[in-house]
Amino acid sequence: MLLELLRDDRRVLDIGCGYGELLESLGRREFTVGVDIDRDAVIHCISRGLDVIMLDAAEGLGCFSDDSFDTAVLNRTLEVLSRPDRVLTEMLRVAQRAICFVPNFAHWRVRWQLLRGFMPKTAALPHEWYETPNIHHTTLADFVKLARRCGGRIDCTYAVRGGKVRPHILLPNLTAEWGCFIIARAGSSHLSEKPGDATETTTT
Amino acid sequence: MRRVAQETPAGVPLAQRASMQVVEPGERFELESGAHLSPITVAYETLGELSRTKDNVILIAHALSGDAHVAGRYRPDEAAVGWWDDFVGPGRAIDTDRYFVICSNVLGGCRGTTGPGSINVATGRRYGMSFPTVTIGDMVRVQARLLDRLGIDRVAAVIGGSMGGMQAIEWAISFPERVGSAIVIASTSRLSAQSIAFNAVGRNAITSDPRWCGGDYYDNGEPLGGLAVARMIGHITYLSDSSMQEKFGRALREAEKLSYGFDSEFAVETYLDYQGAKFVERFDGNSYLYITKAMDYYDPAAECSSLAEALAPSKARWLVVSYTGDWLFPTAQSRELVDALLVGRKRVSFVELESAYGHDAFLLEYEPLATIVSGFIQSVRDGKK
Repeated sequence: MLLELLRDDRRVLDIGCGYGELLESLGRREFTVGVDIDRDAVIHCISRGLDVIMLDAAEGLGCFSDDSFDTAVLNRTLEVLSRPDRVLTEMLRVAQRAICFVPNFAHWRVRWQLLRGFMPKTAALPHEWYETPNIHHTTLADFVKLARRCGGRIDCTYAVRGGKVRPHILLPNLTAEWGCFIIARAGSSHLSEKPGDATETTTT
Repeated sequence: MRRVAQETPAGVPLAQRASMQVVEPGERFELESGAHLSPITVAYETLGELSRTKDNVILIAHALSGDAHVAGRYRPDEAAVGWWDDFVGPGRAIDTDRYFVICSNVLGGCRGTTGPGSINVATGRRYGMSFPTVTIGDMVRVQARLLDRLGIDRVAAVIGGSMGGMQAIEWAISFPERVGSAIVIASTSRLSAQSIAFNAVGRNAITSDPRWCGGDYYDNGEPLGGLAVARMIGHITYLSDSSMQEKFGRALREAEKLSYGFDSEFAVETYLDYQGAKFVERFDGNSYLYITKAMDYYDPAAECSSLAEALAPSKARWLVVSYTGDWLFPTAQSRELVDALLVGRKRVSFVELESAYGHDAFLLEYEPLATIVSGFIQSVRDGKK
């Protein structure tokens, strides 16, 4: 699904690129960079010939100049960041749009487990509470608020339920296990729904 | 030029040692300082075989105390191998079964390439301090001449640690069309004040030796004591506090009790004595002065508005590696280089490797550097196809 969204992008930043699966699938483009804090993952990526920087995204993306990328991707990484708000703001500075893939803490299974008095453990949140790397959970509704706060405008939302991407589902904040958000800078107009065609005509 | 690597019984390849005059007598080869130098001879070695399309060349740039003998043996019965033999050879990180490796002694050196210990043809005497000041840029332009003479237009990779990394940076900037990739290990685009200070102390140790005689000592005995002290200081900076503590602690070398005297008795003292004594057998004090000065001077951004601007001409792919325990060329300096490359939207990879060894880690720890470098070079070569 991400590949489809990134089909026409020439410059892609993958934040929390892990072992480089997405970068590898993207193939050779004009400027593709992965960043990750995990040393072993970075070593793996570099020896596979991928352009990856060992970097703590939480410390900022200051090494990238404005508009370096068409798209910055945050794939299942937001929940481990110390300040997701700062990273999202930075993503919208270095790239024309951000794509964030986040687990939904308001999914009914999570709610149900909490209601019964237990910390939730689901397919999207597979860790025990005492060993989870996740420090910032969000719900789809909260994420929308965050995106606005960070100067973004959500152009498109996909919900993921049962491993399938569904553009329109009933009560997504209750029924989606994951959310995928495509965020443009507020103030920039999005001329096309198609990914990669976000021609920027700032009107502020 | 095609050479087949011969194998010794122990599996260590035979390195081909050669030397080449790259600047003719009477030719005016201008140095960065504005001075002229001729003739210039370069000592170099090659391993492996040059491919038909000459697309498999890897240029290795040595560090301050290194030389052209990067790997292998010169004779089958020789015990000693090159300084990066673990890393360079058949089936190793830089695989001489696949790549044609060239390593040359730097300009200003004392291991076969023209330097302050060479004879000045104009006077018939050794240069000494009349040798012109050389820079990293001069070293690289002399290496480029060597490649010209060998008929090699382009290298798949220039790789170097420490001062070798500075040369790799300079290659990518000065000869963008000739460099497929630059691999910069435990290095920097400019020394910190602290690193310059250590070099200055090393130089002072040499010039304070009464035998130095203004650099004109070649007929009267060399300033070995000063050079040994310079090496000892250098060696401390190449190791980390923790690796020294682990290796030596407060152990005494031989005695059980303190001697209450001033002979070397701590294990770390005798170790430094040994390193100093071993070094002066193969190194020239004046070369130490010139080469450390070249390192101090290096700063490609000095005449630009930013490092990114200095790096703008580069068309190479970059791999930058630093080490956690390296306090002489710390990670922050590598990051400065990486950040400047990213600002210029250059293709770059960076990793900080974990090591207790300090600056010398790239010479001492094979993995994971080997996996990274071999995979990276392979991808550079594949990318060309």
